[in-house]
Amino acid sequence: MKKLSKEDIFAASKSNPYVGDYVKVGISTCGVAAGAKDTIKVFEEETKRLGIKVDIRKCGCIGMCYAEPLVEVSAAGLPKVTYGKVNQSVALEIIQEHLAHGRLVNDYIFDMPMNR
Amino acid sequence: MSKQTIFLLRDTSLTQDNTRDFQVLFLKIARDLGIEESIQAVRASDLGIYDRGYVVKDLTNGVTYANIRDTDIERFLKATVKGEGSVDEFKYTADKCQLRVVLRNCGLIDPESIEEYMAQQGYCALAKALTEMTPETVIEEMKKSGLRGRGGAGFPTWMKWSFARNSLDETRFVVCNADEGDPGAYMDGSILEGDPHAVVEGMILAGFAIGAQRGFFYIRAEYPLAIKRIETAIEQAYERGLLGNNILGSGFSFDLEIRLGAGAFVCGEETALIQSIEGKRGTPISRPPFPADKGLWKHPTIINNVETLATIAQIINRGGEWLAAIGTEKSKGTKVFAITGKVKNSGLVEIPMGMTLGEIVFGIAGGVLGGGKLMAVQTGGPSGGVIPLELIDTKVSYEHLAEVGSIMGSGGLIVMDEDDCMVDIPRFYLRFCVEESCGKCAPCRICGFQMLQILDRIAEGKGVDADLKQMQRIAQGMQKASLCALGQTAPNPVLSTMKYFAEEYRQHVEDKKCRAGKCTKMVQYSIDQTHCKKCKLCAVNCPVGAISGSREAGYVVDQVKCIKCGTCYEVCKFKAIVRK
Amino acid sequence: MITARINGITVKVPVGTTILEAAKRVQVKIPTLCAHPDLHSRSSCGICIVKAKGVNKMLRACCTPIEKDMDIITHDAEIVEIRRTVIELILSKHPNECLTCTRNHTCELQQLAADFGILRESFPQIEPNIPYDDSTGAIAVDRRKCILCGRCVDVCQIMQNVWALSFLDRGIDARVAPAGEITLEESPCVRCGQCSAHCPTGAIVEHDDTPKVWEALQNPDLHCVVQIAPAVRVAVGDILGYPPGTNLTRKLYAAFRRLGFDSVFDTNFGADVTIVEEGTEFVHRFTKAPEQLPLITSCCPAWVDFMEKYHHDVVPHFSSCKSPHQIVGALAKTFYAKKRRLDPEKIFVVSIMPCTAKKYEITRSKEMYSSGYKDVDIVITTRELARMIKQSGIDFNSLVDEDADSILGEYTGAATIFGVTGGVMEAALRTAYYAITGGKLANIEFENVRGFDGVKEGAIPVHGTTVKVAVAHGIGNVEYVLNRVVEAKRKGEEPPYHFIEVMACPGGCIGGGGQPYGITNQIRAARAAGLYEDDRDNTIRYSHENPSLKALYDEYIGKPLGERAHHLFHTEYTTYSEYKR
Repeated sequence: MKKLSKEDIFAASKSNPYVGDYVKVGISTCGVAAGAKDTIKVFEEETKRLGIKVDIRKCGCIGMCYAEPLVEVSAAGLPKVTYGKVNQSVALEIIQEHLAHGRLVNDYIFDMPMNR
Repeated sequence: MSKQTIFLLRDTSLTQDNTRDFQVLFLKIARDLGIEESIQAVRASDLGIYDRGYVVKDLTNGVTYANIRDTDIERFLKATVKGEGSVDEFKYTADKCQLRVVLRNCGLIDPESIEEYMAQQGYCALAKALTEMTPETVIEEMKKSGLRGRGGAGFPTWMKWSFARNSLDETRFVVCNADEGDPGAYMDGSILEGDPHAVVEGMILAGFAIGAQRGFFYIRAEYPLAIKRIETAIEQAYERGLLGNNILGSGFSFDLEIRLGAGAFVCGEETALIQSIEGKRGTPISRPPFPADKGLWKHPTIINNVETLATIAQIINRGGEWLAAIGTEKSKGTKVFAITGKVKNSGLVEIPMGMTLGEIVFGIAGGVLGGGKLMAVQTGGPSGGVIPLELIDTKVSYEHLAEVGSIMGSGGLIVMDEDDCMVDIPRFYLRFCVEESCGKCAPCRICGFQMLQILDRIAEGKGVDADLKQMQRIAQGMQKASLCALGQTAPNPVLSTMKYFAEEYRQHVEDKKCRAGKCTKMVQYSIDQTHCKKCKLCAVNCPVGAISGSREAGYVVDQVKCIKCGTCYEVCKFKAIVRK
Repeated sequence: MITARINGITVKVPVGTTILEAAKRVQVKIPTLCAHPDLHSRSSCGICIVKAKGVNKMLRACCTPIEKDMDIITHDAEIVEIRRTVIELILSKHPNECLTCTRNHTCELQQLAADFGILRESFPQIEPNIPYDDSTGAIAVDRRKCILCGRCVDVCQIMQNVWALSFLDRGIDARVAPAGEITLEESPCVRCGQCSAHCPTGAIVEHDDTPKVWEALQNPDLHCVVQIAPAVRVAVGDILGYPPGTNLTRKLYAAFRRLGFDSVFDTNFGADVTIVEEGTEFVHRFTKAPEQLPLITSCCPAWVDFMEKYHHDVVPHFSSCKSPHQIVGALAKTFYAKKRRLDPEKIFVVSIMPCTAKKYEITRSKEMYSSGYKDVDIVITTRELARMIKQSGIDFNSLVDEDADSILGEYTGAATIFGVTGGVMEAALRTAYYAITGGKLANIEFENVRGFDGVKEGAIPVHGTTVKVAVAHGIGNVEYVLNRVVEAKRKGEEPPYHFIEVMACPGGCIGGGGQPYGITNQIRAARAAGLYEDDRDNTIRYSHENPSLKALYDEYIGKPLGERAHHLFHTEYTTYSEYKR
């Protein structure tokens, strides 16, 4: 693998690897303890089965550990939302409502104000 | 479909939850206005805003509105969807909210992808430092930032670095202290799992600044995922030439390796950590000389906490003044806290220094779980103290917390309500310290044990008046004569609770009563005959057969047989069991 | 040099001086418990704490280097109160058995408790249930009394390099024990006793054999014989009220007779024999069998045990000669018995040694029974001897000097320096030089093998060639010497030394594990000076010129290394693993 140069790093900082629809699941220890691995599996299998094109991505702890498993969804032209307490049945609902039909799912959205 | 406006709805009042009704009304009015198809109105689970009536967040335009009443909905929808009129008076911005600096990438990027890290200016700081700065200017930037060690001691990071930099010894080391041992603290673990490259970059920058050739990650073995993520990150960094020989052609070479802890809280202490890496028994040694002067294998060694290291790249990228603008005069920047205990929204929060405890607990974390009354907040883990409700407006900073008898610590924040016993909590922490004591120095080893014996007796109802004074005496010896901070700070929870909750101690010792019912040996269960329906449910469920009687005569608890398990209290449907 | 203030008084000390050391300049001896001048300070007890203005933590004086402009307070009400609290807490985990403990009156913890006026037990006693370990028969360990000062661990690991003791577990359960909590006998322990010499309490003491000696003395059928090692005569005075290093040889002879011994011998006679035998051995190897060089001395049983456990490869280089007291014991039950027409079965030999390892040596192998009986029946240490003298009520100071029984009691100056490191080497060289050249050395005091450096090297010109020697004391210092030897062997080069003397205890036998408590380098120097003076005062300073020895060889032994000499004076070695389990 080619070693990076200073220019490579500065160029990379302007890149945007996030194109397209994605479903991002938090799989730090807090997430895994709440069952995030099963949640990811549901997303991977069901979206494949239904032929829905969406990137299944992973990330670290989002911070709202009491609401794990947390899933951030940016799809179907809707603004990005974070769902919490996403067990397998909620995951199915998200796929069927949000991903397939662009309808947000009630009672599972967590939107905490924070600045980065 | 045409662009819809997405609304998130939530009833944020503290006493009820009418979100459903609100949504029904909202959608009805939208239907009446004929704009049903142009919106989605979704019930949110939590919007991070509390006690502001009905809150509606316009997700599409990123604006939040609060205190909307039923009668405002029509005007609201007309203004936000049809552009008719304004509803600016309802606009709400959370003035006190999280500021994610250290955690900025956690939850954003895939921790196993170096590309995603670099897309967030990852390793730009390293490139800048190695090609455009010198070690001295890096340390200067750290000085401007005012960053203090986040492991708990709060020592100015730039000062520690300059001691090592100015040493005559040319062999130097950087160590990342990831032996997070405080019970209930997992900030460092989450940072290592969620943004490992930030810590790796921080290590390399630290190595450059002090002139080190090698760095070690000391990660506790109980964090297998963190270990894996860091391993991957280090591997990726080597592959891209960001570690190893002649990084970015600058002439600076740096190597990183991982060493594992083995279940010893004391190895989070600097000198014990060094002994552990050297392969010896992990016990502290006397300081001075300090590790920055003589550390690993007697060479200057910088030991920094994970959170501290994760901040460095951003200081270099954005400049020291940027961090110094956040926080209080003596405590700059942000701090990550792990809020746990009797709180609604437990998890990791990162706040700028200077925010008050009340703002954190009630503003961000949603208040006490179950709606009960807050008793106290505990900071600093086994080394810290409690802050009672009347001091809840204490600002979070090194100096303010120390003034009220606690410490910042590594970031644990435990919320306690009226069901928590102020004698039981310090007992738990003291037991932890006694178990984790390395045993090298007599003060910590024996003082801790003797003090725990006294606390145990008090909790079992066998306390005597002299006990409290005896504990003060032992605490003084332990604080002044222990070799390391484990022993020196172990009495803090006890002393702090004795100061603020003296009445509760008195109740335990003199009245032999535990207000919260946690000290089970002193709790008494009995049957209130006026409420008892003689259904026998308690007697049937009692594991030791301590309840006896009959339909006619009624039922009675035999206090001698009773093991105070509380099962009868839980199963009685008529609230006839009295616990006190 | 840096300037600082202690108790308001300005002091000027070299950089690196600890607060403890610096305080001595202002006439303050800060109380300590775990610190020991022989060892790097461990800073575990927490007694030596002092205050420094501007520092919010208390500092440990024993290991904190004093810094420029530090302003120290060594004692005030708060400091004394905290020290008292710490002592009381240590006492709460220490059995309250002072009156029935070997260290009654010499225990450092007891002294601190007395100094601080601890009059009550303020804390409940913690009483762990730990078994007593007397498995070696030489050193007895009562871990209930251990205060975890760590001196024995540092001694066993760093100073002696034996690693029989280490810390186990943590917190209140922390304790000192061999790995896996096997007994000492099953561990690599070589019984040198340095642990007991450094222990501040009664946790590690010598195995007490005095009851057996009393019993033997009382038995009318037994002919009791006593011999005393060189290192004991300049050390026992510490306990009997004399300045360190006082040579009490002739008073001791008198004391023995008062105690009831029938004959009084001197181990130094055996030392002379050792020199004759080993000297002959060396000359033979040096002149005729150089591939068997270097020759390594074998009179130290802890060292012998160490080699047999850890350095099997170097065992062939051992001198086959026994240690001096074994030689005297063997002679007592053969030559002496014959001469006095006594039944050797009724002769009871007691050796007074500075050494705990000698207690193990007497049953080490079948050669220790060469007389047909147990050559030496009992070994007691200097400390046990002092107790016996006190128990008997003998007023030692007013005894009139007496002589030993010369048949096995006469000795030369070369013999008496056996007790100090370098002494065996000097004595051997004096005789070897004569044996090789027939002449006498111009200067028989070899300065370069004297002194307390860990390893001392010398080169003595002999008849056109050079004899290269090395002297090591403290087993920790031996690795360097052995590594050089093994390395040379591996490369096929000439050995770096021809003759090596090893003593397991730092300072040599004068610093032995059975010597009076409170050893420091000053005391070692005083005792060494006492022995060197004994050498100078002696008219005969060559072992082979000892008249009684000449008589012995003429009448009974024949030639050195001859058949009878071999039978009585020489032994064999086995090798085994460090851990028996």
